[in-house]
Amino acid sequence: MSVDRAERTGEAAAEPAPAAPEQARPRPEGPARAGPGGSGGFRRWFEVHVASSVERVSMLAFAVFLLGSILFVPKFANPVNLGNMLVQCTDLIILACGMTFVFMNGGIDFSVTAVLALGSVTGAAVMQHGGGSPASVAEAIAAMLGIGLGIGALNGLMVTRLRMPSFIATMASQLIFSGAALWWTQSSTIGGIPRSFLAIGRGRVLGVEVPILVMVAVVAACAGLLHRTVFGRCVFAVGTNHRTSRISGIPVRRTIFQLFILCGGLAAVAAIVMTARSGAGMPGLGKSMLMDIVGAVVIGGTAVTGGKGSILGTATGAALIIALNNSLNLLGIEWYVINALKGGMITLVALLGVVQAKGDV
Amino acid sequence: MTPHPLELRRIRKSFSGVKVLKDIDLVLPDKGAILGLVGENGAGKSTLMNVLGGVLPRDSGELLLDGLPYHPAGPVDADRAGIAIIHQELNLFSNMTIAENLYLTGAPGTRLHLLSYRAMNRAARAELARVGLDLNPATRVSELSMGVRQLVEIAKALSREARIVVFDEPTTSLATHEKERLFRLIRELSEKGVSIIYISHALDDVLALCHHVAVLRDGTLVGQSPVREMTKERMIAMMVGRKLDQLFPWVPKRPGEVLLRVDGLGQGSIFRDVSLGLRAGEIVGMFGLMGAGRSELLRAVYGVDPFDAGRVLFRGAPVRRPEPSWWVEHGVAYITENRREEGLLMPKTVKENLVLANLRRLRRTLGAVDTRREERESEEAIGRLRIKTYDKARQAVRMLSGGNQQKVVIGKWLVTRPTVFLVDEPTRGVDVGAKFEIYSHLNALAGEGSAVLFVSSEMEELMGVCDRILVLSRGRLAGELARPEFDQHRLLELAIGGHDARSVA
Repeated sequence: MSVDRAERTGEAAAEPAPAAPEQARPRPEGPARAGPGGSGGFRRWFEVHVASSVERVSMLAFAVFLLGSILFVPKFANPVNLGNMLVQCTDLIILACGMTFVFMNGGIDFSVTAVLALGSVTGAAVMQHGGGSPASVAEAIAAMLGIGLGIGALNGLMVTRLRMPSFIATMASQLIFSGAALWWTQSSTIGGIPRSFLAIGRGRVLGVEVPILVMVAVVAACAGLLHRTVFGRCVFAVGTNHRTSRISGIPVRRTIFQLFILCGGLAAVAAIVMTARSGAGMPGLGKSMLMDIVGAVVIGGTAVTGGKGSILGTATGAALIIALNNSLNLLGIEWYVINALKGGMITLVALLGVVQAKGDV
Repeated sequence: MTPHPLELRRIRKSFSGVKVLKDIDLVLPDKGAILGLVGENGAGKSTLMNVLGGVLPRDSGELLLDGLPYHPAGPVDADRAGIAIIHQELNLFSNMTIAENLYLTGAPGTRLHLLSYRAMNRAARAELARVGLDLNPATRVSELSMGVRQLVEIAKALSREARIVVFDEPTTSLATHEKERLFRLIRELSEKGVSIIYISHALDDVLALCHHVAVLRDGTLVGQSPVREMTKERMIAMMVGRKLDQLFPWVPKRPGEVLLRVDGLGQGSIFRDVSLGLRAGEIVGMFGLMGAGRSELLRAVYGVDPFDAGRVLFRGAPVRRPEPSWWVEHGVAYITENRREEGLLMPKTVKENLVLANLRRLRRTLGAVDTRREERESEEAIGRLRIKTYDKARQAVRMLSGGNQQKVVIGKWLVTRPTVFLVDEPTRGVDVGAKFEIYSHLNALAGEGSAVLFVSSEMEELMGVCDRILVLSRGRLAGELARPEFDQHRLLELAIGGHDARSVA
């Protein structure tokens, strides 16, 4: 930063001074983590391949937990129970995938639950109004997607044009739109959903339940989008440093806008699947899911500050949370204790993220 | 025989199998000696100082202070032993006052853990006087210029009774008069018996200031001799291990059409009525003192910051609202002077950084990334620029030396094959060998028909590399010199003096 600018604007040169203590730290020319050989080979291997990635730790934890539950928790390995869990996973994973994109920019989207609520009741109303005809089903799906994309676009505009922090902007959307859903339905559910729509939630294609197919498609599409496309690279860059990205020619504002649209759109997909399964338009759909969604994303290794993340990690995080909920519930542990445990896990993950970041320096 | 104030014997240090310091024998011969330490980026200077300062443990070898073994377990030990290191990026907290910074670890007049600001400020005044500063110690550091901050840092070192003070690139952010003040102070310290290690890329300064010079190359001490036996050419030859026939490559060129034109551009009071034209195949320098507005001009042209008067034209057509993405698409590159915050994604890998500006061209069907092309282009850039990295797909750029980081920034733009290159201080913090490479690349670009605007505070490099030099003084174009007219005094005159506000094209 040129000295003249600092002097002129009277800006506290936050860049030289607080950065300095880090400068005093060693800047090794080689990799910070251990190389091959030496004592404690396993420890090193562990450090390099496992602890260096929160995502991998979560996968390990999930595998361990799953195994433990299968072995020690009665009725866990019951096929009906496993089937339930898988279905619960679908909702959470679809929502968490969308949230991952927003987190990549260091933001958050509180309004996903509002998309669920408003989408659900709107879709149901459209179908009820249309007498359950196939046309009304198509219209309902279009309307629900429209709501998700619309709320996402609104969030995106607030964040990119009005420069509101996502925290505030999406909280505002959440209050407005879930409030709207509640007011409109007077807190009651909307029925009259035709069989054809319910098939989305309960039907099977080639023996596999439709929600699971949707989930797999969503995960594959999101993973491809984030990790293999130019857009995905832009997301990583923008989440790391806005200024560098902008100067390098990356459309920062447009990218951020698209992140919110993705999140809203995927929330709408979740609304479709969840409404189809529950069989009615519910203004309270997914009301308490936010913590699990955020937990899934964070445990999956997406850094809260942005710039780092993985869809597969998010899916693992979601699976771990569902397994946790389910297994501990089967053990008879109360919901608030389960919540406390989940909170503890999220804290551990955050700590691991800090340790890992220090090692990178 | 009195023992040397500092002696390093066969110091070795490796990081994960990579030898960074190889059997270094370094001696500060007498008390009060000023030892200059020079070497390319990546030669090991910082690592060596980190070992001395207790920040890094050495693998083997001995450190002796006044003949006694010195084994610092951490920076606190170094501090107690009387070693102070003044880093390039200063260790001051800008939101605290001078006195608070001086007495971070304990203030005079403290009773029962309660600070006495009066006692602290009084003592601080005395410390500041030692470095020739007459300031109110209750001033916030954020209000001080870089030069003054550096003096505060030195005062801090002295207040801890430092016997050895290490300066790491102290002059990069200093104005000329501040540099002279610093040199005066260093000479005073030397006379009072404080030994100094002076690390710098400014070889002329080293020759002027130091009593002895030591040269590091690739982790080895190539040689140490008294300054009268050293010349700049010899230092450079030792630093790079080969003779640089010219410091600055230059070839005559035939400039073509005007690619980028600026007409009467203005931004508040920062710069006004600036007009210039960049022709294909020429390297235009822009010189000016700090505060002249050069960087601000580039940022405005590129659309990073807004301007309020004038216009910008590309290939004859006015650009309505310049935006970086537009410029990138049209082949105009901009290398900022702040590579850490605006040129690089520090935690990301070399490869990720190299392809950053060229992403749109890597697009295949459905928006997928052409990974093969990505690999090829990044590998090419590394080869062309000789970027030193052990694994481009794994090493984060923040681990690279300053010179290599700068090369990554340049490489990132080179792969976009720009026709216009706006560069702001491209060789800041870069060692001699890499500097030469960078100049050669700029020449090559101009040779291929690109236009280059080269902003720098170093007259020498501008005069060496450019075809003509524009001078910006206090926000206005003060003049232009063609190559035959290049003259240091004239440049400085224009930079300091009035505005001869002709428009230059």
